[in-house]
Parts: sequence; C-alpha cells; structure tokens
Amino acid sequence: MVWRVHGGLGPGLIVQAATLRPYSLCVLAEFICLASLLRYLDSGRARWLLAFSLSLTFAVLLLYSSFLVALALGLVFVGALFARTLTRNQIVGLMAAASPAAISMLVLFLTHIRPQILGSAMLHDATDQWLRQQFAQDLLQASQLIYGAADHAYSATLHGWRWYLRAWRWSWPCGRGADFSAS
Amino acid sequence: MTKHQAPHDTRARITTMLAVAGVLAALGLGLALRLGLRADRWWFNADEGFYIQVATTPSAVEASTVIRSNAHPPLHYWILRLAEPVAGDPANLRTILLLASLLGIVAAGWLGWLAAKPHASGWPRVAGAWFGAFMVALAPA
Repeated sequence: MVWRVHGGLGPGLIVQAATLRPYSLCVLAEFICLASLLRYLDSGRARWLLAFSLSLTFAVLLLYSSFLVALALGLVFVGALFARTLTRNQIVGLMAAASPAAISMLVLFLTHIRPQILGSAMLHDATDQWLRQQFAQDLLQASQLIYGAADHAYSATLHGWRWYLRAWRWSWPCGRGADFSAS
Repeated sequence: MTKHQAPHDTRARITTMLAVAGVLAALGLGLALRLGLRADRWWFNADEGFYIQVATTPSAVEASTVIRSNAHPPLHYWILRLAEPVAGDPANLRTILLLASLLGIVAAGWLGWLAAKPHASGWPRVAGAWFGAFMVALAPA
C-alpha cells in the first residue's frame, strides 16, 4: 500500500514532465493565473488582472483539465459575492477578466467537446468497457469506497505522511481568511 | 521610525533571500531529475506521435483540419507548429515543455509565497514558497 502513495511522487514519473504533452505548460499557466489573481486582490493593479485573464484563457485553450480550475475559481468568486469580501471594482474587473476564458470554454464545448467527445463512440466504449471498473456503480459502493479510503488515510501505513498534510494546512490560502479586500 | 523599521527591513530581506534560495534549490533538483532520468531516450505516449504528426504536417490547411476535428483543445498544436521550424528535430520540441516545467517550479514557489498567510515573522511565506517549489520539482508536471 505504501508503494501506491510513493508512486504518486515517484522520481521515475518526473520524466512525464518533459514529454510533448501540454501538462507542464498548463500547470505553469495555472500557477501564473492564481498568483496573478492574488497579486490583483492585494494590489488592485490592472496589470495583474490582465495577467490573470491571459493565463487563464491560455490554460483553458491548452487542456480541458484547466476547466476544473476555472470552475473552482468561479465557485470561490460566488462564495466571495455572498460573503461580500470583494469591492464593486473587483467584482467588475474579475468578471471582465474571466470572460475570455468563459467564452473560450463555451466555444470549445460547442466545437470540440460536444461533437467529438460526448457524442463519440469512444466515450461509450470507455464508460461501458475499459473505464467501467474505475467508477462506483451505486451510492452504496461509493460510500464503501470513501469509508475504505478514509480508513486507509488514518492507518499506520500513512502515518509518516501526516507531515505532508500538515504542511498543506500551514501554507494554503484558506488561512488568509477575509483579507481579500483591496487596501 | 527608522529605529523600528530597520530590524523589520532586515527580517524581510532575510526571509525573501531564504525563499529565493529554497526555490533555486528546488529548481536545481527539478532540473537534475528531469535531465538525469534521460527522458530523451524514449517516447512515452501515443499522443506525442500525434502532436509531432500535426506539428510537422507541411500544409497549414491540412493541419488546421486535423486540429479542428480532434478532441483536444487547439492551442498546443499551434504552439508546436510555430516552434517546429526553429526546433529542427521533432524531439527538440520537448524543450518547450521542459522549460515550462522548470518555470512551473518557480511559479509554484511564487504562488506559495503569495498564498501563505502574511505574518510579521515572514516564516509562513518562506514555508509556502519552499513547499510549492519542492512539490512541483518532485511532481510529474
């Protein structure tokens, strides 16, 4: 079981960072996007908003997995609207900055995702055959899997990895609280 | 004013230097791992062949048709097509991704620095920068 955990950080996998697939470029764009967003929220300068907009759009046009980052940012934005931690200028600026990425996502959905993925025979093959075992078949099985994973996460096998989780907790932006308002 | 400001400036300078030193160490580690494992000896995925095929197609119209009819987003294909005349050998196109991967280590350090909760001591930011940079240096991205 320990090897499964080590496998995710195994040095042998690092060679994947230097292949022709666009994942490292996408990760770079996403880091720049998030850092630019934080700089904008701290400083209120338009150049960081521009960097945020460009890097998010760049990431969206590179890989579909960056849609998850865009959607997560959207959820955080909605949460900030309800919490009223953003100024009016920030709300307008962020909506304008995110619109190129949102439009790109819509266009990609209409031109690529819907016709070539959702409507393809490959998707049916994947879900019915070679990916079938990767998904829980019903709610009971899903709850059993979650319970099993939680049981493993707190087992002695993973005891040595708790520092990893603690380090996350220490440095992650959740600790920033509500200090997003422009000074 | 300056009496109180001087120690604060010194502390800020030290924490900044420590963060930069950690990110540079992570960058060195990341570079050594990425080059030391000799990824250039193998092709790892069928996608790589497809990317090369599109990047080296002589006709732009033909390439455009392939890109439009492919399930993946288009930008990476166009980046590779633009870089292909400079790269010469298709295997050299991987250099773009290697550079992006190394810049990703620096960007993760920067993000970790910004994301950590600002504190008078500056240590959470140093920890954030180190953690971000080393995490990406050791990760396959």
